[in-house]
Amino acid sequence: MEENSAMCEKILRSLENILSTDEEIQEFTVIPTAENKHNKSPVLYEQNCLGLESWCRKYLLQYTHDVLLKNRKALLRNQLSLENMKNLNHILIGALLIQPNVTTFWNMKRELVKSEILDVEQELYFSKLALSQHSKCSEIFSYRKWLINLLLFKETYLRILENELSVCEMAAEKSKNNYHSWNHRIWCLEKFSKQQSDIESIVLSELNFSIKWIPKHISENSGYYYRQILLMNLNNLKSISINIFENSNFDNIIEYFKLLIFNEEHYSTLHYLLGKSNNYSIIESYPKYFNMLSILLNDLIYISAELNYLYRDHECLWNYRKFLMVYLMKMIHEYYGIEFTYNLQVKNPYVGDFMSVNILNLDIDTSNVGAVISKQIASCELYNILIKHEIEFIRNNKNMTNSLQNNLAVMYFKWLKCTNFYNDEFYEQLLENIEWGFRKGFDRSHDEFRIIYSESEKIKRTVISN
Amino acid sequence: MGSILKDVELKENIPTTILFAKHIEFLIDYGQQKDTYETVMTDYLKMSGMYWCLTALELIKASPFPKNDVVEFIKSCQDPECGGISASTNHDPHLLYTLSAVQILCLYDSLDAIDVEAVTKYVASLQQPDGSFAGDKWGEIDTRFSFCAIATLSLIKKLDVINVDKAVEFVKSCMNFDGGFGSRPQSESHAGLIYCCIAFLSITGRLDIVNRDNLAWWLCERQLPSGGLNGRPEKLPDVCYSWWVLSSLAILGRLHWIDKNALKKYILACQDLESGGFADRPGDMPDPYHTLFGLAALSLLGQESIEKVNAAFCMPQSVIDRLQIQPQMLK
Repeated sequence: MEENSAMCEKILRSLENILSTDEEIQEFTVIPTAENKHNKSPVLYEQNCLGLESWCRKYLLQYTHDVLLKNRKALLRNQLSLENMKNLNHILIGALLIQPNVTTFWNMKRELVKSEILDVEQELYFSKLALSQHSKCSEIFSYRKWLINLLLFKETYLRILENELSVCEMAAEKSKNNYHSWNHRIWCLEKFSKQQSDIESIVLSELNFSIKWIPKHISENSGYYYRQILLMNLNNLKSISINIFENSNFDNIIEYFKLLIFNEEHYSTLHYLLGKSNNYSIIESYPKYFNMLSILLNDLIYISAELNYLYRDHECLWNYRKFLMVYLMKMIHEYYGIEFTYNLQVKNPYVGDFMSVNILNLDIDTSNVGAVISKQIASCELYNILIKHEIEFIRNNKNMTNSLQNNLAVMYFKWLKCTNFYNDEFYEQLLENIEWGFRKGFDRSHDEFRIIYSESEKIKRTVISN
Repeated sequence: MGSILKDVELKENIPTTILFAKHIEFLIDYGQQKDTYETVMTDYLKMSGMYWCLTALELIKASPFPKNDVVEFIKSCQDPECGGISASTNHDPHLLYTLSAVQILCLYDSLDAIDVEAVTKYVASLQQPDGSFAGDKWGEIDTRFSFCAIATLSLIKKLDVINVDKAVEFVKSCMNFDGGFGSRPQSESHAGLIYCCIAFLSITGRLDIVNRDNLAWWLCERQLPSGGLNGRPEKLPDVCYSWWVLSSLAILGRLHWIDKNALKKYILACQDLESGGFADRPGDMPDPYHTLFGLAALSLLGQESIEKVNAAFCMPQSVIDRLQIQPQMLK
């Protein structure tokens, strides 16, 4: 036992020493090894990477656990000398690098920070290293939030924000769908929006980040969800100074939907799409409204549709599409000053306790004749374009030979039919007059799609950097 | 092009009945381990570990742990100053473990063993002006903690010491367009957190704020061809989501919306034939956490050989009845 303690102390001091002298370490890893055969130090340190051989983990765990819990109450009650307090840190470092989900140990660090024995910056650095090995650990993010709150009393915000965003990206790259990392990103966005006057530029540069992230992480719902949050935050701004319209994004939309307008100014485009608004606040801020509309429609075309073509079988893409449709419907209603809450209306008299079937696999009674769509909405151009386009989109995907994609399209159609912005009866009449095939894109080759997509990305980048 | 659906395939030789004797053995073994690498590793959540084991045993009508030892341990974990309860001796008190401790004491009908008044004060002290709850004095906010606070206070009959309306308002602010909930306002919908929020609203009798069918639809989408449920789109199925999703559907009165037989088959397939216990997916390592949620889900699915479970508290219904608590359940 004594022997083990001495060995553990040696390892822990060595870790502490490296961390305090090298501020550029990017990564900490536990390296799987069998027993210690060569009697060498298990601490590996090379080119800004810190490693620990796994054989020593059980010794460190027991040792750090014993020492820390023995001192826990004394630290809490301020009964430790300064020297003894300082002597806890190397133990905490070891304990938390091995097992970062022990809240009590982070709390001890918090107390040492409060006593000014540990430095906030140094702790941000340490917790980042812990994250590099345990990227899904919520306790680490919680600790960072606490540290940032301390910093925000006195610091320049942008530098902290940039650092946090890069930490989040690192953690999100390491673990797919990393809930805590994306939550932390959203928390930062909210936190810094409150502190910073220039929220708009943060949101726009994050939108730019997300348009690049999504195609590379096509099956991660968190990435799409983050974009939803960004769009909602954008809409909450008083105004949007960029003018997407002039940057020709809307030309793509015009071409895509074959709109019968050419280079009109946006006020009259809105008129064409939506008619006359009776919502004063929208008339007043129509450039913002128009910009929001452009972004949502662009996402519908370029994220939801193009990516869906390039990468089939992804529920996340269909999921994001639902968000876009609901949000577009909300905006259309808002234009007319009509209250709108998205609701599903699921009626199925055939499902009962005696059956064992997922209702999504049933032929649900989706004859949604109950949905009341106001005349104004039902007759506006944009609403009709969108619903027709959805039906066309679903048809194209249903005709795929691939059964999963086909199934996703069927599910989406069921969903659409259950929404309170779709009425079957109304559509049957309308569909008779549809000219099928305006969505010519589906005949295009793969490569062409890639070009279109990267072009759209380029456009977005210029828009955002402006 | 092969299908890339994220799911598992159930093999031929999977268990199709509940291995009661094996599970009892597994849970008791787990509870009796001392001073191993694993017990040190899990010390930081020991109280919850005990809740999982003891509730699971209770659900399968076996409770061989001496009541006195358990109660004494819980008493030693209550902080004499703030009243909160920690996961284990010398650890810091936290709402998560305060709830687990109170749940165990209710199971044993021994609430008076701890200072209930101090627990009440502790929970109340963690409510924030916006109605949310911090998990402990360091201030992390999460809807999980809202659930822990409400469930704890409801079990000790002290719901009136906090501002319930404000607490509900906060949970409502965490609702997303799809009807789901996340851990904070603007957080992604997640089946585990949906359970926390729905159970919270069930206990506070405020299910009126839920968009029932939007949410139930989203929950049904969690069922995969293997029958198992995942917690978010395009994630793998996991036995613990059988509980989070299923209990939410049960509270919403929409249990019949999913394929119960397929789910049952999946859960049974996650049993470990050799050691007993349930794992997240077939063939993985079993643990008490998945064992409790597997058994509790089977109970909700109508398995008569398992005690009836309460969907809001994840405790035996008989205990909730004894305490005369009636969480709201939609028909």
